[in-house]
Amino acid sequence: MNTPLFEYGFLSHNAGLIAALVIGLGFGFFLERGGLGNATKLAGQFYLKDLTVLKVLFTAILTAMLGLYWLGRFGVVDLTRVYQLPTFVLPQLAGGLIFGVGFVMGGLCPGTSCVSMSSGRMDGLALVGGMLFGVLVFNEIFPVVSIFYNSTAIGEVTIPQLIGVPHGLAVFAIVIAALGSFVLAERLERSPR
Amino acid sequence: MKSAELSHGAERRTVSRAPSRAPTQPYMNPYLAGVGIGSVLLLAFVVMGRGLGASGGFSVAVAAGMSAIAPEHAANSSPYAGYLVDGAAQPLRDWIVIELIGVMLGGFISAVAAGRFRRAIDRGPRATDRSRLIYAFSGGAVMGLGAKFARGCTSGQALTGGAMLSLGSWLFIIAAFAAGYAAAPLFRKQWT
Amino acid sequence: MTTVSRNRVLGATAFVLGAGAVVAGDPRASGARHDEFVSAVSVAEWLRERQPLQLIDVRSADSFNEFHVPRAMHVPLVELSGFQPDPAATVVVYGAESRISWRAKRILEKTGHRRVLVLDGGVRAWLFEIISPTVSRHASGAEREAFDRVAELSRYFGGVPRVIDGSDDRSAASTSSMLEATRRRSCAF
Repeated sequence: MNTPLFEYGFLSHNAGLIAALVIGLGFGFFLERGGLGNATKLAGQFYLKDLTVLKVLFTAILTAMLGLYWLGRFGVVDLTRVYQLPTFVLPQLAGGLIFGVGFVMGGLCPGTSCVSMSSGRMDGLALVGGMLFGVLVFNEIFPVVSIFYNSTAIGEVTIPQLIGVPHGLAVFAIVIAALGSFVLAERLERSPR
Repeated sequence: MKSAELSHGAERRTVSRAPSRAPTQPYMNPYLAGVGIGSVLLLAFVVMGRGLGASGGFSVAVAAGMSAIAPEHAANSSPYAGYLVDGAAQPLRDWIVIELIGVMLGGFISAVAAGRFRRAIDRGPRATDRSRLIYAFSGGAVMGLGAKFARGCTSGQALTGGAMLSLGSWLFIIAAFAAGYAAAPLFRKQWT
Repeated sequence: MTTVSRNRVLGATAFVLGAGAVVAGDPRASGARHDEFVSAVSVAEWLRERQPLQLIDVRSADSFNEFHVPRAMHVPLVELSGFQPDPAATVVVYGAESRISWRAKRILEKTGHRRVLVLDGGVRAWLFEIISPTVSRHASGAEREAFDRVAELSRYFGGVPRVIDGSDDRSAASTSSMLEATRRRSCAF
């Protein structure tokens, strides 16, 4: 199969940009539909009041993960041509911790801040400004952190590769974990707090 | 306002077709919204061979800005230069930047259609507008830093890398949620 | 359908699809086009062994003149439909990256040539793997051995193999920095 279309030369750079716009439209639309453009809703998950973020995020991961697996399995998509993210163990762990703190502080993430902003929210705009500032700070201190930034690079490793199990088994495990977390989330939201 | 946002079990209210102002609709079932986002992500994989992104667009914007203000510095410093094409900024040729423009448009369309577009500041009941804006900016700055180290954010790493079972992405997800829950007590007054 | 029953259907669907994945096998196997891609290292070895090879560069004239793979001929993409490849040689097309090469491959295969191979990664792959191959200082024994074989090939083509600290984040590297390495030595082919 000649997919991904872009990787097999069916789309020019400009056609790719049009695809970017359409894809972004869909992304932003569903984020707002789910209420993820609202900072109080997003931050609410960290106080176990409103677990919408968990439900939306993991359902999205499940949908794309299962979709990718089955499309690949039936040869509809050539997965060897899909860009795999490389792993940098320590920087991504540290970055995740830092990001998580910022998330509960600011109540929005980079993508949802754009939705918040275009829904008219001033706090979304402030967060966008903060993000630009944070990136600027990182760039300026880069010489100091570059060794850490480039450390523990182990390449394009997936979880099943690391453990040594078939990809499909890991997919199933994540499905079970996600479904379990949904059941838990429904119970938590129902209990009076 | 929290009253319009019932969580699980809320059925869809019929929206009145009054010509003046549509009442605020309840949010979509989160699982359906998740399927929607996951489908969009899948589309990106099939069409482009890549997933979504967000923080990368901010890096491009910063590089473009620095290139306009201090071109020498931008061209010679690798964190900026990596986002410049032979020293020049071309943000509107960058895939993630165009994607983010789409995100803004999509969010706008959905908000207007649902009657949720409002010039306002979302904050917890005990927070002030001023404190909210300060925390939004600071939180954004912290996330900007974190996203650089992690090579992405919730869109690029959690969603995209998560769907591909990338190890680093799942480490990011776990670390981010853990840190968020751990730090939450510090910011109670902001949100509850 | 009520929300709760809709959620149950979604959950059940996910469960079934996930369970099926356990037994359905490797998702990467079906779509792969291994036999239609060729690596830069293979092309380098074929060139060195003087195998009957026809290398076609489909980029612009400026790009071709700035740098091209040794013994490649220049046929820009727009002229490809009128081009007859050598029937006795293995035909390999390359562009800046793999994508354009696939368009070129399709055009050439339409004019009846049996099979056209695509240089995996295009010129960038040649520059990264042959002209500027790198290995981490902390690489394993097997990785070092593989690198030493490529390094020898690299030097044959005037490249500069290097051992580096940490990782070499090449996603953002520009081809111009790679080309600097080629200018240090001349390619006498």
